[in-house]
Amino acid sequence: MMKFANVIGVSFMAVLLVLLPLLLPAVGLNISLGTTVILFALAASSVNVLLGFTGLMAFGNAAFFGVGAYGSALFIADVNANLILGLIVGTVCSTLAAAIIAPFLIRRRGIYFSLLTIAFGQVFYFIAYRWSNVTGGEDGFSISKPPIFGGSSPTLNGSSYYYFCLAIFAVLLFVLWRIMRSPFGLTLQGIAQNEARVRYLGINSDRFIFVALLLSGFVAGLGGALYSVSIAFSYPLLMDWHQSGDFVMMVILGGVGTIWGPVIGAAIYAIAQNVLSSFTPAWQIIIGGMFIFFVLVFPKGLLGLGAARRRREEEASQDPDVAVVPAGLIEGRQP
Amino acid sequence: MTANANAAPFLRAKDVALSFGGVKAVAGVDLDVAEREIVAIIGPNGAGKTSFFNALSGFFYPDSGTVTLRGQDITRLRNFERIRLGMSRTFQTPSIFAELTVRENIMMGLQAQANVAFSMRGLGARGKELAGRVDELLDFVQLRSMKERQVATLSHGGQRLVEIAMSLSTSPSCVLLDEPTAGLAAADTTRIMEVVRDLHDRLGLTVIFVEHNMRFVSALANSVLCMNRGKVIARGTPAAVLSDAQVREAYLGSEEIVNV
Amino acid sequence: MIEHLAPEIVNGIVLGAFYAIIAIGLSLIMNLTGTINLAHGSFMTLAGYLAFTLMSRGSNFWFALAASAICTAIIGLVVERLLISPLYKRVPLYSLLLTFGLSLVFEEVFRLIWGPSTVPFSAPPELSGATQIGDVFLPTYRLFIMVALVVVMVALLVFLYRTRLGLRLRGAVQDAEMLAALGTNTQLLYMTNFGLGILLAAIAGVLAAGLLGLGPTMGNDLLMPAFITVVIGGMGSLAGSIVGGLLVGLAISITTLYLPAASEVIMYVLMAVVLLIRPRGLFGEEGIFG
Ligand SMILES: Nc1ncnc2c1ncn2[C@@H]1O[C@H](COP(=O)(O)OP(=O)(O)OP(=O)(O)O)[C@@H](O)[C@H]1O
Ligand SMILES: [Mg+2]
Repeated sequence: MMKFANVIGVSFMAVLLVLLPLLLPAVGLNISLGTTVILFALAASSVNVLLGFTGLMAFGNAAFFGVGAYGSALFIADVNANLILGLIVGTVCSTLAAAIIAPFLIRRRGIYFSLLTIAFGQVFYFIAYRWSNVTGGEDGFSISKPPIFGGSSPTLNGSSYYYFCLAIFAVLLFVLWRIMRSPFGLTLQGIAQNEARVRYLGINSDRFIFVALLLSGFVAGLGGALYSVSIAFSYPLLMDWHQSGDFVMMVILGGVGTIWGPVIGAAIYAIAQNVLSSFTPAWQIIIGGMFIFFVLVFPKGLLGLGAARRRREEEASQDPDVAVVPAGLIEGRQP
Repeated sequence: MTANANAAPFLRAKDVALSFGGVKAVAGVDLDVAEREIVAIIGPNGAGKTSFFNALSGFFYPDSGTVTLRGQDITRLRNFERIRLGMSRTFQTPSIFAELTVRENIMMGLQAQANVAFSMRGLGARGKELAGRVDELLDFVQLRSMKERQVATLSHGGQRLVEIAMSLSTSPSCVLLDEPTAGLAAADTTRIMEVVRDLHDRLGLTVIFVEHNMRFVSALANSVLCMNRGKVIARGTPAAVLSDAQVREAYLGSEEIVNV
Repeated sequence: MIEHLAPEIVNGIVLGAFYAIIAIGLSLIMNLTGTINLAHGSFMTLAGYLAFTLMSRGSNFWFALAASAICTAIIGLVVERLLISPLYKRVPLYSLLLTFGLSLVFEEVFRLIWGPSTVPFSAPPELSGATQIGDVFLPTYRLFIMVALVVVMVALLVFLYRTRLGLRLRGAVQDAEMLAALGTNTQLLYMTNFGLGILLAAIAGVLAAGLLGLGPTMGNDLLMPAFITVVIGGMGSLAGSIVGGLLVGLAISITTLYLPAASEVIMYVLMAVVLLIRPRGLFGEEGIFG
């Protein structure tokens, strides 16, 4: 199930993404939209690590994205205008943020897990919102784009920044794909399908979930760090639960549990938002409506359409949606 | 029983109780199992057999009572910790990874056992060795030809065999089988019986199994425990327990008891 | 000292009562159907705007309160039947996302109809001004809200503990499977439960509008503390929601007095502490939701 699609699919996506800076202006869109697609895809992939691979209903990944954004932007603005260092700092911060809240999350499953991710995610929002002498409060703060290695090294702009992000993204996507095929990834899939059995194989699933959370925080934070540099700005709403919801929705739009689903979902979302918001101020109604439509009609997302049909032909009896419910009773009555 | 009288038994449950709301599913059950013994647990539906297994294996903590394995108190150990001590189990409805292949199902436990489960790369040097173990285990349950099949596409009997092979992947010294032949046709039942016999004869494991098929019970078990309403109503050799009046009464009307 | 603190304590209790009422609705819905209702705040705002519209057409406060709460609850029932109930057989993620999409739509509709900024929603004249209690003057509207929310809560408890439907609902919330086995019409219970949750949210929404100001995000601003209340109190526990709500409300208002910048963060500190001591919240029990 975790195949890197097929060669044609990968090549198609690769060519599309490489040519995007040429294609976007041709249809009157800005290159920065391409960058946004890639970075949202990173964030959506971070959700996918939890939701798709591990079966955990994470609803707070904007927090990691935002911590990455603030971490790198603050470092670049206040410490050292160095892109690479800024990215490292942002990503370390987001991974740390994940490590701080993970202990509260790892024993919980199902909607309790969602509830806690929503709640804990929002704490970072309020910190950014209230700690205004550092973070600029509600308005956020802007930065100027840093040179890639600081000092007099070149600054990446427009399409060069796009390709920079694309390269990082490609590496990360490949790494995620490798991880999913590794022993670690196999165990995560096991947790998603039947956590009780995983534990009855002598595996402490909580630890795997802890690492999955760190991985998710890392990927989201890297996306966020790149994003705040891309828009030269950082603001609290990046961490709001609405943003988390958008990231989850991207995964669902594309196809949950697939490598390419989050990319496709991020593209649909970012382009729809960009195009719609130039037409009508009420674009949120259409986006919200699209979410509702997909949830009701295409719950497996675009990539899931083909897969679902194939599976239904193979085996008519099982409802794949129901089968994904994480086992709730694993711990039983433990203190 | 074969156990040395003064040594602690291999597995001992003492006065184990477990209730759900007002229902006393297990109401004070004692059980001593010697190493390499085969113990059958029988009893009508709802007798508390599965709940007893759940208490032994840490699916639920018992409300009271103790469970010891090789003299070590494991009552409050978490389920995965018991597995690491050599206990292993199957479930009444096969607990498998339906969307993974047979190979992946078996591999997961092997990885954990070999301490490579956290590897985010490949299996590295252990890969060959573990692949060999997968083949061995699949040979044991005669499923090698199904190695790359998705488990969901296997027959019910096939899934039960996969689950047994999975429970062996953790190199247990003792396996708990919850109704290994439930819902199987006669041919599959015989096959499972042979596998269970092999668990003992070839692998030298201690086997505790819950079973409704009395032919199976009397053919394999060294001793039998009969439960009803959470309590033990008879224990002893298969012949003695199956001819016990109370046992026959407990089964009356609830279940057809298969005669020897 | 006390003259500073007393209003803040009243404030905290009022806020806490809001959180409690919202949390009870959220918690009922969560426990019975596994739906985390992210549109809960939108229903509150909706009720506020409906009351506002009625009042600007000349209706008095009391009629507006009742009519808008009932209308909102009916809209809630329609939403539950049309959009949410088809998702009950799926993973709870989908109903969560559906209500998320719904809240986006609602918020934008509010902006389109009533504008992006707050509208003037004032408490009725008989409830304005201040009331003297002992040495301190306290705003009458706040005292009224306190009383009103207590009345609502008592009414809710009477419904849940003294009526047949309420008893069944409580039974179902505690053990949905058991009830299905007994053959109770579960769909009807799901509906009642959702409607009840929305009704509570709607009443709270109208009352909150006169206190906090009515804008498109009013309900959503109350939603997060309410979620935290659920976590602190324990999912599915009425007592937990009430105690949790009061704790959160008091913590926020007292922190507002001494360290305003930490007024939101304090509830997270509270939540973290509670979870460390009691992983399932103050009144939480082992539940099917892990
Ligand atoms: N998780 C649970 N929650 C509530 N009650 C339970 C649970 N598990 C078992 N019970 C109850 O405990 C009693 C014993 O059930 P158990 O499954 O242990 O019986 P059993 O002997 O395995 O029966 P069967 O032969 O049907 O498998 C039953 O009344 C059952 O309803
Ligand atoms: Mg059973």
